[in-house]
Amino acid sequence: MSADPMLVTPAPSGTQALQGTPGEYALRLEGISKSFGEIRANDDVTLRVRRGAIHGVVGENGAGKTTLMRIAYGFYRADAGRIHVDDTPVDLTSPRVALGSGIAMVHQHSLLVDSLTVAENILLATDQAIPSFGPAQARIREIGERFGLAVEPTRRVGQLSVAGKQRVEILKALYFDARIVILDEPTAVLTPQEARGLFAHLRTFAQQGKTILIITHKLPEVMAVTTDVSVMRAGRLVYEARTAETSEEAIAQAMVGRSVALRMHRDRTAADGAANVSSSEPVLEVRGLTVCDDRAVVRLRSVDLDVRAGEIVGIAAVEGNGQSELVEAVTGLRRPTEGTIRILGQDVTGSDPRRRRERGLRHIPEDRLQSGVNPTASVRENLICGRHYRPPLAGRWRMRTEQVQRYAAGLMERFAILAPGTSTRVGNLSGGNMQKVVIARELEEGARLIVAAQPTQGVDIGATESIRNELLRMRAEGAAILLVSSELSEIVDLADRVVVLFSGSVAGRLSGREIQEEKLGLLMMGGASRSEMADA
Amino acid sequence: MPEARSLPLRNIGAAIRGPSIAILLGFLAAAVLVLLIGKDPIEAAGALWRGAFGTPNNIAGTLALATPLIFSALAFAVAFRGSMFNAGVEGQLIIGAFLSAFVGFSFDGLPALVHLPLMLAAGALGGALWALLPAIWRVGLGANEIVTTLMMNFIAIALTDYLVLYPFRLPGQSGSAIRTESINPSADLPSLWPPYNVTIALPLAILCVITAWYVLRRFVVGYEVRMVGSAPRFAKAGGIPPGRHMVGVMMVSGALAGLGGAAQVGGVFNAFVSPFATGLGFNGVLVALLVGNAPLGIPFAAVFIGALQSGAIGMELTTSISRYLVAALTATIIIFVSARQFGGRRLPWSTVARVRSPQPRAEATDPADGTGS
Repeated sequence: MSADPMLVTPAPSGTQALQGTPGEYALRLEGISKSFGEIRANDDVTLRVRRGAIHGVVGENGAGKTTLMRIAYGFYRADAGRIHVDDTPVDLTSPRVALGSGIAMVHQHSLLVDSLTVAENILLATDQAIPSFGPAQARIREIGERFGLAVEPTRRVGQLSVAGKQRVEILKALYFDARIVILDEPTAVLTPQEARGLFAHLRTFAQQGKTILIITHKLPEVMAVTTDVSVMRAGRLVYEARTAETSEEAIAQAMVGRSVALRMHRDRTAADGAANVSSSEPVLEVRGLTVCDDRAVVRLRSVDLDVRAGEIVGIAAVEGNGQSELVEAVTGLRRPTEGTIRILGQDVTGSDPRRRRERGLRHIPEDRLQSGVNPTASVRENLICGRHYRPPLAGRWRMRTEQVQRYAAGLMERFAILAPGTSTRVGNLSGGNMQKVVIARELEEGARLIVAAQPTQGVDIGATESIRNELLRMRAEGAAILLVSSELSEIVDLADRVVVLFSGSVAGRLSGREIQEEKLGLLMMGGASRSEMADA
Repeated sequence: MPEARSLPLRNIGAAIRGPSIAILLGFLAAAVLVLLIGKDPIEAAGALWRGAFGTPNNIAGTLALATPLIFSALAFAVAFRGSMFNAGVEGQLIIGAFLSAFVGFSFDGLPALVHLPLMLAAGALGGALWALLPAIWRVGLGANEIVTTLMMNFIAIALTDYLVLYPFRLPGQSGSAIRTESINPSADLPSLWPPYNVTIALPLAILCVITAWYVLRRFVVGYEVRMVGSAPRFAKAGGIPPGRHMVGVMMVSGALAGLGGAAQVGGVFNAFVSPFATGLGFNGVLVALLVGNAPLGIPFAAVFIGALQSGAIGMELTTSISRYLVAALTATIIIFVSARQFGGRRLPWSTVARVRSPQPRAEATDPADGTGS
């Protein structure tokens, strides 16, 4: 490893890398500690943010970065430590007080009221009993123009895209004269193009003297947009650097505490055994599949799709372009209006999920906390779901408690699930460990067709690596894998073929060396977004 | 495995803590009320205690009041564990009671060994059928079962009123309480403690509780019901059909409610009387809420609520404090218990759920954690 990791021990003064002159900092968090019960979420953390910087705070899930940011915008109060804004000590007792000190938070998921207009949403946060809309709208327009965030104040928020809602949240921060804007994983909900648009805005803000704090765990973003970067691990600040003077590898190593393979450099031509794959019978055959959502709106239109044994077919699409409906139809959670689905040659269009599972279907669901795990149930109960009714885990009526316990303990060990025991509530596990529970349950034995939807979303680097390896292992063992991911790099790294969906139809099919992020991004936008590409 | 052995004890401790604190707070609030009307709370509490447990007669009264509550609370809890909110326990109990009374007075000359089970089965069947309709509407049409079960209560009351007043009217009755003819002695539930009304319905109720607990805990169907109840989408993705289980738990729930009705007919009234239940179903819901729908807690909570109710009468007689104080007390306790169940994360006893997480939970569960946003 060529880059010096510059790991700093958590000494209060161990922040050599970003030492600046007094008065240079817009925000200083000094010696912050915060505990939840027995857990130290923040342990003597000192974070100094230069004025006009775009400062990235990175770390795995559970590293304490969200807690630290919540302290910075007044949502939590620290157990110990001081906060200075522009070298003035402040006592941030609530988000409103923090906003008064010039600190605003832009949440990952919009907290706006859909049925209200942009201006009404912004004025919701004011103290005024009867807000005056005329001047406010003019001011919103003016701020929008100054910072290049064009949003019409009279539009209803419900009509805006996810990126549009995020712009409104940022606009709201600027409306209240926030000088320090904190963004919590802002790109998680955006397409690559939208993300680049956001980064352009952030650079504009920084040039105009605003200070940006951005939480993320995507390293390319850190490199692309930040000027400074701080890494947290296990509640401590372990590393900080000017972005220009560090590397992705160094940051990743600081995050995980060991070196990791950032990309799975696969040799596309050699190891794939492409000839074998194309000649084998498809495990999954989808023909003319049309699916409607709950309100009878067509979400997927006449889609054909094959997945063969030993290949990974990626589905690339911006959220809401039919990929969720495709997954639901294939896994039996939603009945298609037209078309057929075959698994291993047998028509399963009308079968329930259990019948499909018995034919070898496995499903890693997108909404982990709703469908992937039962957070209120134990690790054991989560691990057996889907095979809980068959020998050896159950007899005709009763569960076999000892076998269940042994089976669950075995899976925990094999998939390195970190939990005190098999009876730990899954809701108490970190996101990565929750997903390992899902992976362990779904990939253990008998998987012929794996539908993996966003398998690494919100999962830390270490767990991401092991999940991807697990998928590749299953592929090598001859499973057919349908991989739906909004993480383009994941599709590029893992998929043998890619099907791009745009507003419910197949917008393109790529295979082998054609699979490149830029191409995918264009197709995902319906191929009509060249202008947007240009301004990014 | 030591982990497996120590857990139940810790669970019991955690399970008892919440209701105990709620009950304590409820009594404190009631004491304030008593002080406000210028009476002595200690004296009131003493009178309440004597009214519930002071004499064998009072103890029997408490147990007799508790018995139908065990049935109706278990009915509610079983449905709730399977994600169904059965607000129609009362109606199912009434229909079950009527049907069991019908079997009780229609068959003559059967041996008790046949007649009794037949009467109880009729009660269970009536309740189950009355619960089946809302369950089907929910699964088939998406009709909210809280609304439909609640409405079915009124239909049950009106229907049985009609049946008692017209087709099954006994000549020569007048006044507000009207009854069918009496059931045959062969359908009488034998008393365990003559001459009091503590019948074999009490052990039957406890047997139902233990069975429900065991099935939920150890049976495949119990596992599936619990998964459907706590995470329906998770269950569905794992190949467990939620609809079938929703209908199933509603029918079991209705059957338990109907058994409660049959127990009242066979053990207390010896006929169907109108009005019949007057809140037995709803008080059962309170009992179930008090113990967080945990079957094994229900008999205790039912005896507690039964004691309050029978004690209230004694208290009113000896201290001239209105028996409705107990209604206020019960309501207050339920409010404190609900505060714990529905989002009272900051209350002291709710931290139990948070202990021993391997990672800082504040971040680990961020996406689901609405409070952070």
